[in-house]
Amino acid sequence: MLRHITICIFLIALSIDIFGQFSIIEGKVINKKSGEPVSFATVHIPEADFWTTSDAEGKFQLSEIKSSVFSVEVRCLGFEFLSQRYQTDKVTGNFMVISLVPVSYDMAEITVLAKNNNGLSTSSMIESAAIEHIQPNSLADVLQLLPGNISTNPSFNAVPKISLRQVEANSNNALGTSVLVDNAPLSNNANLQTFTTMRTSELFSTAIGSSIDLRQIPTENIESVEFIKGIPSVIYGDLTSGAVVIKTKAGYTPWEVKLKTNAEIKQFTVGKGFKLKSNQSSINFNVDYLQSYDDLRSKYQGYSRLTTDVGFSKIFGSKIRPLTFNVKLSYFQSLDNFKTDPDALVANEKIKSNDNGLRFNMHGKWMPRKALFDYIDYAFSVGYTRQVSSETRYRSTSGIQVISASLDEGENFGIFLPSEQLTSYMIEGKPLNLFGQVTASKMLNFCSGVANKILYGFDYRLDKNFGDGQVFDPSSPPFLLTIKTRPRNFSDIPAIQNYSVYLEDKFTAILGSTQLELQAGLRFNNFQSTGLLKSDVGFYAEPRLNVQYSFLSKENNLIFDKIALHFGFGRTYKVPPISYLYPDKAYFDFDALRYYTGNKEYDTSIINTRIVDAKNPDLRPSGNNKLELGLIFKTKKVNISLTAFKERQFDGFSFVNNYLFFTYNKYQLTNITPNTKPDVTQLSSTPTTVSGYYLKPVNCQETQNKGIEYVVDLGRIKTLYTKFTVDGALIQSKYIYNTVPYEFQPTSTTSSPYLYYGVYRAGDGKVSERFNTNLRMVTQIPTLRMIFSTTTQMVWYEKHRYIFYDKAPVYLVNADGSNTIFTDEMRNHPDYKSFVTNRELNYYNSDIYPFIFQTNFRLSKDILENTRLSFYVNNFMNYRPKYESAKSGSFILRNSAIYFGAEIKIIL
Amino acid sequence: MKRIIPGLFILLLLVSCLKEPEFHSFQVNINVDFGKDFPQDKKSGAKVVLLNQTKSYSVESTTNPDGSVNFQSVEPGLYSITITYNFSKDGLLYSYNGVKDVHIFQNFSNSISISGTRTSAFVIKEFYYSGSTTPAGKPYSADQFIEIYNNSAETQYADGLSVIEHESYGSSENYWTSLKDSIVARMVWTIPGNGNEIPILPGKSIVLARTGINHRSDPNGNPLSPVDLGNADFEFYVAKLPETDIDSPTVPNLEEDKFVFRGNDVVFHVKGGSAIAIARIPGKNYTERMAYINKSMIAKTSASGSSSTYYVKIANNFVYDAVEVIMDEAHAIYKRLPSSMDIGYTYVVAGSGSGKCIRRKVKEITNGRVVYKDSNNSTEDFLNDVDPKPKQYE
Repeated sequence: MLRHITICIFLIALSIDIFGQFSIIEGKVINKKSGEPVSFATVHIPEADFWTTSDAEGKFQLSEIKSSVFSVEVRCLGFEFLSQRYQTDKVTGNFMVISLVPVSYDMAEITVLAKNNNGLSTSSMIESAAIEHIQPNSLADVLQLLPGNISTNPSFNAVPKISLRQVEANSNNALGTSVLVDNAPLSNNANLQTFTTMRTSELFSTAIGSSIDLRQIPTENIESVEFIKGIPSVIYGDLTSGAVVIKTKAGYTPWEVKLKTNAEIKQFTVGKGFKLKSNQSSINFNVDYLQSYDDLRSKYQGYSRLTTDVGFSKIFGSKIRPLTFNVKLSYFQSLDNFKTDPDALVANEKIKSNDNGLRFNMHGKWMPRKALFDYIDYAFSVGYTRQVSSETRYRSTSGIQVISASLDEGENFGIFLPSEQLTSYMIEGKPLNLFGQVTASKMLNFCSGVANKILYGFDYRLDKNFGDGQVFDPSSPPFLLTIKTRPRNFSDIPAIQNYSVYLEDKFTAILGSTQLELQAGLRFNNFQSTGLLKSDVGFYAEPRLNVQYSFLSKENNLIFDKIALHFGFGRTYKVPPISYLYPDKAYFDFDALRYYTGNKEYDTSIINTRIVDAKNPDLRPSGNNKLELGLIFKTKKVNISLTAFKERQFDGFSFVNNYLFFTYNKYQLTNITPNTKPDVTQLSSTPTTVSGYYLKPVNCQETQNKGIEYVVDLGRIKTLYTKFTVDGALIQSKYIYNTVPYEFQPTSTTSSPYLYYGVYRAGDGKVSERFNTNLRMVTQIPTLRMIFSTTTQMVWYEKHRYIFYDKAPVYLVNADGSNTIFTDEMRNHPDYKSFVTNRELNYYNSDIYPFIFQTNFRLSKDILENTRLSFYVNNFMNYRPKYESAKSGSFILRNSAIYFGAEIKIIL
Repeated sequence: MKRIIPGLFILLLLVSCLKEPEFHSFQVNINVDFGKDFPQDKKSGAKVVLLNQTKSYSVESTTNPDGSVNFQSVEPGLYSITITYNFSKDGLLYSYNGVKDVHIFQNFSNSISISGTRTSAFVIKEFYYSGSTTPAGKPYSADQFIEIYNNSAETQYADGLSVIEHESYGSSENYWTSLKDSIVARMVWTIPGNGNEIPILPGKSIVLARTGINHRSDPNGNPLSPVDLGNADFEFYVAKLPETDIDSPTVPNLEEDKFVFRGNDVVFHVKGGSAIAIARIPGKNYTERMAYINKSMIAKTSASGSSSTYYVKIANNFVYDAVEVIMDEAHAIYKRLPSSMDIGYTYVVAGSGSGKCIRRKVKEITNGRVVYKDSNNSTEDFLNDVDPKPKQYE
């Protein structure tokens, strides 16, 4: 016992030696170019988790520094982010001067590429200068800076899909990518813009069942974007693939007017950040307008977007116990429309998707330094959007059709539809998204040499749609679908509510001259909560762990700044969006009698309607198990990071066919006297059994991604004024289309229908693989105030192969519910052979696309003191070789077409 | 003595009269070589004509059941033997010819081979596939039809006759070019009956409508349609459950034997991709025909090898008449039908939605009966871009 106490005293004594006493350090932030003080800069000490801001004179005060070495991270709008390490004893008592590099082209230090973040979660950080240099039209264009992604041309023709660590994007990967703006996620969970959830494609553009529409996010008011690809902190929830964390501008900026143009898109932006009289507050505003046409020669298909933001930021309280407060009100409208050429024969047809949204966001930090927490992060946001998808079209069936508008089961009179009718419909969705999050942090140092940052909090999300739903005349529907549906009022659909609580410990231990950092957390969710401890979807726990061990650092060697190993493991969940959780009911309309003479007096249709609830009570959230192993290697010049990852995105959502058998009475036409209206009571009827299907939401898709991402920053060669970076990834994605057995019935090719359906085994899928390298060269000539960058994108190979799968039923389900084992003899039997899909061997051939490259240039130059001209060209040689598919012999055109654009920015 | 001399003279005259004159005649036996596969029961009745080329007279006879013919007492000379033989069997018109020049100066026995052409008694008289345009400018194709005409001089039975559509729409290379003895169909529809129920008089026709309504006057039709098909003989009705096609109560339905891409209704390619044919598939009824069809299924694998689709293979000799309808001149290289069925091609130049059709040219009018041209060359036999005129013969 005594020995223990002695050791403890010794350790305490040691800790005093190592960590020293509370030191108060004073400093000043200045502009490196002009020497003027920089006010409103955030100064953060990660070791102590202490932060403050600089005042009007750029002065700040740091306290509670206990460690011998500490880092200072300084962030200010309009300046490059700065992170520096200091030795406590050297700066104590001295006045620290921190010079920030303004984002200006006469400064050599500015970064126009993605940076690997230093945090524990693997992520790529893209700052405003880098965003500006790639000249994007929307957030979708920024994705090309990520190591494993391939550059594409800007396009507003379709809703883009985010793809993180995956060869080809798919809906579940995009759906599982959470986009956060100012600490609050933009939710797409209440998007119901579809004619029916039973439908797989729409003529109008919709982001239902996918991530939010990236086209709606302009980039001009963004200060930084972080793409979290690895294991995110527990504060991030409702995601599977990763998170895109956007910080918008807050603080002083000059007037900026920007005009962008390229072959399809025109964009105009104006923005300004005002510093208010009280130096601790500012107002930012930004207006952005964009117009795009698919084809400039016929301006009938286009997209336009208007975004306005007004933000107010203020810091209350003392330098030591500040409270930051940021509010932002955003309004956006986007219009995706298509109309027919008035000169064409078919006039008056229009397709439109119109979104009008208002979003309020409030977020900030408060540092009261209480017993239970040092500071609190809070975020709250409300988004309300009115989404209207509408279409005016001729319903043209080329023949007479019968429909039922009955909302009840049983026999009802059908309506004969003319072969052609001008119809219109509107789908009105009014999603409301509510988010609130409070996270508390506390630094705990139980023992010397170790530091614990405990983080705990909760968040609440609500997604509800108040729209009127599909609005049209049910007796004159715009389409006739195989699977019948009826209009539904979206406001009758329940809301999705999720509660989550989380706890995380960030543990730092200094072991000799090495350092171990560990971030272990648990997020506990109540998905679709019906009460605090009641849930419709269930309770799901997400453990997440990141460990980094730095065994070489500046302190213990002279060559390497850092060599560290990184390991991460985590699980993430994404709740099913409303469209999957509460799908439309399936209606079955059977023709009990159909008697058509062309004379309205005699025409009679009787329809037997059956209704099936398509809801799947067993629907689970989709999840992702992430595992990664990384190596970080830094010298003064060279900076390498390698990350091997393995992800299994399981329980992805999809709609699959679900078969049922129905028996109804079919009336015989034989006893009808010509030129009379049939009297149903006088007609004989026979029970008729038919099969029907509807689409049911299930968890049946899986994507397994594995690979290696690498970023090699070779530093700047001063004589060439050029910085070289090599990045890329080797990714293999395995897509499994059905992880559970599925049902299928081919279309009968004779007049006798099948009264059985097949049940097929799980496992049909595809494997894709890609290895790419981007060589990015950035030439910065400060004296010319010019940045020129060349990106050579090399794809060493790309491979696609289908997994061997025997597409034959395991058994057949008959109308009476009995099963028939599907035997080998049945494969060639005329009644059953269409249930078997015979795949030829060439179907399993690997398509291996050979090496290809593409070079993109970007140039920005300040032509006048206040005017910057930028130009870019993608694939400047228009090198687009063809690849002949080993599967089908058809040709695939590779690379994106030559594309160029220019912009002018005027700073007033 | 004076009495003896005239008496002797008369005697002499009598003697000279009793003696036969110097006159040669021969027997001629001609054996007609009908070729292989000729039905045995049809060998009698071929007309054989012997034309004396110097004296320009002819004698004629018909063949015996063994296919031979005998002429007695044929005077010597230079003859031309002509054999002509026209008959109909199972809805097909056979026309055989053979000519040979011979010198007959002794008893003569020879075999003469004849060659024949087979033409159909039923021909596709009119095919309206292009569809019409509605007042709003939208396509309307429910008024498509096929008209089948009895081009022979005898009554023919239409029941059991099938309409087939070739698998390929002629937009790319025909997958089945190596298959010489059959054509591959994506759909087979048959006129119901046992083969003796639906007589079609010479010079009359039947109309097979996609939908048997008066498209012009029906309130739910298309007022700009060129046709009234309310009096069509049969309609293509897809009996799907739940129903999607309109079943006209006044127009009986064709029997659906095979419809590979079974949609809501039969639609012929409005741009002209449907090469159609009429055929008689073995079997007296649906079950027997289906036995043949099920036996004749043939798989086509998609280019990527991902799936295969089964079609019906129909032997060429069951096909009566066929029309190679193509999309346009540029697609003529993707001809699908063998040259024995149709050596040419045809199409509506005015295109889809034009309301125009293709119709056979009139060859001749015999006793008021229109005979349509059928040389198995649709380029020559058909008129393009004419207004559909079902049941009108001109």
